[in-house]
Amino acid sequence: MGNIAAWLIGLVSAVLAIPAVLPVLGWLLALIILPLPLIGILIGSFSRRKSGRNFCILIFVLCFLRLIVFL
Amino acid sequence: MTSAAAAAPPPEKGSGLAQGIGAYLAWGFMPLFFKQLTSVPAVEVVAHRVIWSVPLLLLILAIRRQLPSFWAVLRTPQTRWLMLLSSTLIAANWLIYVYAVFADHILAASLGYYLTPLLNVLLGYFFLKEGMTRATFVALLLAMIGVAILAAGALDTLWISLALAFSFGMYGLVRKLAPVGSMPGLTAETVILSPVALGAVAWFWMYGGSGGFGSSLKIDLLLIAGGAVTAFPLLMFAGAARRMRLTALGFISYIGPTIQFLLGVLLYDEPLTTPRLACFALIWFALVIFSVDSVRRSRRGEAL
Repeated sequence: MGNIAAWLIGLVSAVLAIPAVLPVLGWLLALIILPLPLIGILIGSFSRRKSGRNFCILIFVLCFLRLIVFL
Repeated sequence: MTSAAAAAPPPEKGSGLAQGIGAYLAWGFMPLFFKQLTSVPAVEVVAHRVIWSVPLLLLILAIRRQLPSFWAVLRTPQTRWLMLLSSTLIAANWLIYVYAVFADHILAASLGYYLTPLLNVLLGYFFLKEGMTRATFVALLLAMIGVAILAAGALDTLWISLALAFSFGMYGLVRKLAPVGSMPGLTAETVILSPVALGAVAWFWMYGGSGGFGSSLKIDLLLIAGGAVTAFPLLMFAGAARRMRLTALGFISYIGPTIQFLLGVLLYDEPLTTPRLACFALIWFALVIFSVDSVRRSRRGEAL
């Protein structure tokens, strides 16, 4: 259950992250979507399967890189 | 999922949770209260906070029949000296906090309180010879990178965050060394601080400019209410701390800085620059690792 929830949260943050690549929408979206994958990591950590958690870590790292590279 | 009833839930768990959330909600929204007092010097605000807390805390202690333990704190030489130290630390913490709210640095204050649990681990490692798991070490490393980013990109308010975190972390450490309950302890601290606070209030009364105590009924009432604003969240926290598990209490403790963060960004329009956001993100990540680790350890029944 936790793994599926983590995957879903990760997917939602990934979709939200796409418009955040635009320079104009950058920081507000970064503010909203940075905590999202973290919640996914938290939920995914309590499942036996780790794929959802790892996916959320990937999304978080990408969002973080986006944050420090573009802004 | 291996949460097989490792430990029986403590009695009155539900009411403990409500009290804990209540305490952290109150602490989170505290900037709204202090923002009403910006015409008053920060030192005077803290002095009044100390003075008006004393009678209220004594009254609460009397109702809870804890006055004997309060006297014991002041009579025992060892705890008396530790309380002198912790009073200094809490006074510094309150002063920096009020200054941060007045100077539009609520975000820096919020960062300081996010850092506190991680700093507690570090202080416990160095001063109390407590162990550190690999996950906690990674969390600390991430938080340090976050602080380093802030030091490189937004040095101006970093001292506020670090001073708040250190004063509160050291305060917790001293309180750990002195076996004193939270209410009798705070009463002893405010009583110890009250001569200095009375002196400060007298000085502001005579030489301070307009804007302080006596400038308007609203300001006077707010300064007096500072006592209640100090005592009641702590009363709720003390109730929660007795009934809740430490890991659960650790989770809800993030309510406080999170509300402050949102107030700073959304209500008071404090600038959330890239280095700041990057620092917040790293510390949030660190706290996720730290929380997962502490839940795992408490499930295995290890001491936290």
